[in-house]
Amino acid sequence: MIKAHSIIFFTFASCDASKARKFINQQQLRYPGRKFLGRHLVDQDRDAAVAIAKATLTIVLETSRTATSPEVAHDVETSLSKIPPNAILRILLPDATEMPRDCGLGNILADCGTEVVSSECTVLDNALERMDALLRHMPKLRSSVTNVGSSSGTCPRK
Amino acid sequence: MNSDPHKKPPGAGANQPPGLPWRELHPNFAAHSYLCFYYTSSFSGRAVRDVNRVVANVSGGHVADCKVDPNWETGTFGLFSTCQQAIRRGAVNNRSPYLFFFGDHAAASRERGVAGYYRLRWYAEGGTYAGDFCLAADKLHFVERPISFAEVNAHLGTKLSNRVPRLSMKLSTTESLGLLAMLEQQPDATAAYIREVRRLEQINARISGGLKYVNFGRTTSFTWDAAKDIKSLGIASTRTRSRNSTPENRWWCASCHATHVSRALLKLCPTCGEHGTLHESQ
Repeated sequence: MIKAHSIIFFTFASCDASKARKFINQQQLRYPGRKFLGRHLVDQDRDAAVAIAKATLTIVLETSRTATSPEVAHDVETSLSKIPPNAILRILLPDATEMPRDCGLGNILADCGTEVVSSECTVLDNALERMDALLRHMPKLRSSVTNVGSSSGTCPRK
Repeated sequence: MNSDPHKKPPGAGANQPPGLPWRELHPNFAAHSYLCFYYTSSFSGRAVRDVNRVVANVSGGHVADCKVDPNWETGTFGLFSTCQQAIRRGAVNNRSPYLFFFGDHAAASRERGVAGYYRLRWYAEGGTYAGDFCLAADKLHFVERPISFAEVNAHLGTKLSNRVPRLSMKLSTTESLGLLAMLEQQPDATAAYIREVRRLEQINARISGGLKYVNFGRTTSFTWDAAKDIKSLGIASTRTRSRNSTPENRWWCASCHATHVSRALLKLCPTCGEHGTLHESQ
């Protein structure tokens, strides 16, 4: 069983690249046990898809401009279409505001129960811990789904 | 008399039960209150109930045990679940004014902690067993940073621990008012709790083809509309009390004869929707 997200892909809008790169580099130093792959390291969507395939967690580095980013939309779609899909976490870049709730990307992320957290260190530590816990929990959750449902028939007791 | 017992009267508050069959509890503020356990989620930064809970099944794999109480969405306790009926019976019989909730990982560093309270105001017949009730609050107050047991003990002189209470305990009037004051020092974050529940429901829905509450076979959230499905709400059950969990986690409906897998006994049959018809399947 995978116990933690050891490879994490970061996606962000190209207009936020400078801020995002700085953030990713800072975090890589804080989490030496995890490998961080950033959107800035790949040139094309195809390369991003390869990086996403290696990762188990996709982090959206968010600002108000993320909603209209084709790169983020592509990376989120690729992450969710994997089997099993990548977990997704939204981190608000420093001084950034959340993307509008009713936008297409916002709806997609809300539909898969994505958490939004600030980039503050403690908050981030706790959020990654929760993402790791969810990673360990998902096989059990999937197993519970295969057990669910009803079967018609007579109870043996009857 | 309200022609539709589930219709909300004009001006009703968010947590106000919609008239009959709900009855005024007329809380006795000199009576004891209850401190009540709930499972907290490991996947949220808030002390929300464990919507994604599963337990190992004896026959292999896992079985869902999605938690529906405390039901912040409606401000009710026991309206949609069958667990902890002794508390509800006691609260109605004693006209308890408050129901405090503590979670297993609610406090910082994931220790047990008190997350909030209901100010009880209404009750209704319609539990699964004779003598059980549904409770409803006219005020909910749940906090961003739940209070650890150590902190509660230091302020109130209680002896709460990792083992005590296991599921619930009575609180004296003094203890209740003290705990109330501690919780009121923080603003009410119940709306944020509800948003988190909605988010966690989506995690279930995404992996199960749309089931927000897997073992309930339920694709929608719990709201006052969902209460309309409880056809015998307001009618006292005559069913003899029994266990609400079984080793096999299998339940059989006496009405439609379908069998279901669920850790806890459900109030309604997920197939036919009948109330109080599920029995242990042997």
